[in-house]
Amino acid sequence: MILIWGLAADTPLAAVRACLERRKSEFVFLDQQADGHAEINLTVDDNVRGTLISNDFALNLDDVSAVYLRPCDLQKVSVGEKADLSNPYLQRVIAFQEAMVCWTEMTGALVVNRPSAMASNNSKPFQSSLIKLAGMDVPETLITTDPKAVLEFQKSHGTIIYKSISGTRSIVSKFSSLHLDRLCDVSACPTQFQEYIDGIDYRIHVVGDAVFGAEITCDAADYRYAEMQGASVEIRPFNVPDRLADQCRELTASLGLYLAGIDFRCTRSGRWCCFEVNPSPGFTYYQNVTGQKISDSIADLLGAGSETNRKLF
Amino acid sequence: MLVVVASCHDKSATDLVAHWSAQGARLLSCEDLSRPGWRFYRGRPEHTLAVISGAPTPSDAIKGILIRRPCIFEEEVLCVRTDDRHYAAQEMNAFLIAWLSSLSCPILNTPSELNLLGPNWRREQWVHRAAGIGIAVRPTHRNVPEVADNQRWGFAAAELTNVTVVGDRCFGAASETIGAQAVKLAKIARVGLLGLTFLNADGTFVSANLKPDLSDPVVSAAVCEYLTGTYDMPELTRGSDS
Repeated sequence: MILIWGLAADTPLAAVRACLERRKSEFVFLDQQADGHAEINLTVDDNVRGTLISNDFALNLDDVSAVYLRPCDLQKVSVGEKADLSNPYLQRVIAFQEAMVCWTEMTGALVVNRPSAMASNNSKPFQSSLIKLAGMDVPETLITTDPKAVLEFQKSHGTIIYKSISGTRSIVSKFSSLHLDRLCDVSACPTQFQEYIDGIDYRIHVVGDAVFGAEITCDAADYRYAEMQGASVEIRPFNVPDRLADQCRELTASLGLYLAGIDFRCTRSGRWCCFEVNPSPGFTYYQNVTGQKISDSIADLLGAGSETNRKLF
Repeated sequence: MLVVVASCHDKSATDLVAHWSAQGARLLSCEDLSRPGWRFYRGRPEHTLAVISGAPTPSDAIKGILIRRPCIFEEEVLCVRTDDRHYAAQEMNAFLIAWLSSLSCPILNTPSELNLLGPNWRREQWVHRAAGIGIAVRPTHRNVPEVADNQRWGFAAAELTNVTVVGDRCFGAASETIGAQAVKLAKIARVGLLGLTFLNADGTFVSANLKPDLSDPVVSAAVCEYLTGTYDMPELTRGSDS
């Protein structure tokens, strides 16, 4: 039995569900919007067992062979931005989510992806070190509270960008003279700067052993926000060179992931620079344009279930 | 220099810093992350400067680090305007994880991506791992709803024994078996500092704690020896020090 956990409206989740339905695979969907009404009972010693009951199904957790999860920030989803932690409904939602995460960390089922494995994305420079360890090139990086260090870094690299250190999504922006009057603000909190890599963006999705490449042409520093910046984006399928594909598979496995969206930029001189590994990629953005069957590949992976656990790790 | 990463309001941490003054111990507080002077060049530790107790400090001046906090809390980031504190705290945590993980000196414990104190395991995960290496456990239950029942243990303090693992040494264990089990579980968790609680009656594992009490001078001396590299690690087969 395959368990899907997340929001019905989430497009990657919906795409995988559609594949599973088309294949008539055995699966259940746990709607995160209804987590406040679901029940979970876990018993743990040297084994992990329990039951999961929602409005739509009752499941012995031993019967779960694979899980695909894309949980959102439930506090926002369920009760709005101003979460009141004294609200008993919210307390139950949080307790349920915590119990589910606890189970996904221990179950022998294939979990795409375990929350602890996804956590390297919480610290981008830490993840960057792991990427470097896996043999890939990464941008020169400075994290500082020292305005002088920023100016020195800019001097040695020419154009530089700044972006968040944590998993909080931020718009990657070029640092320019317009920022000089605010530069002293970096003293209040460590801020990440990187050499600007000029080139073409690539998103490479790894799903188990399968690799899908997409080439993105865009004038904006961060193509994800190109429209906001008045720039256009063009996405095409890209045949990933064998060596790079192998590196991507190895990197994904080294992070304990089965599914990853890896961001690269390639310079005119052929330098492939890896920016980050997204452990819960919104792959439909690319799939819808390239026609690549990423959701089918995820469905294949889930169908193989715990056998894949043993094969890849 | 030894560095204790903790809140300036954590008296046990500031006491340790005072106690280790001969080792040049300094406190790295949340406030240090809001001071000019940090320069972290990823992959180039020789150029990195930290700010410890207000003073810029090269990485190679740091001989060991003790971490006594799971994270920076947004309520602590007072120098940032209220609306930005959540973001600033996340950035500080992400930065600390990267910086601490880049150092080559002894650290108790190496942070995980979710917890500066080490692996972010829930009680069930500790019990599962303990059972997996042959330590006696009682099945643990988590039921939602029925949140209130989840935390009930029903043991009086007098029924429990707390032991502390520092490197390959275990302090406070009632038997060599429990001492060896505690060290083994710490190794599985890849931590050098771990508090564990066992039932007196039958040695059943109850819980683990990544921030054990270090007020016992013998334990704090062991931590200091670990961090300064002045303790020659014995083989595990020599058993516990207790």
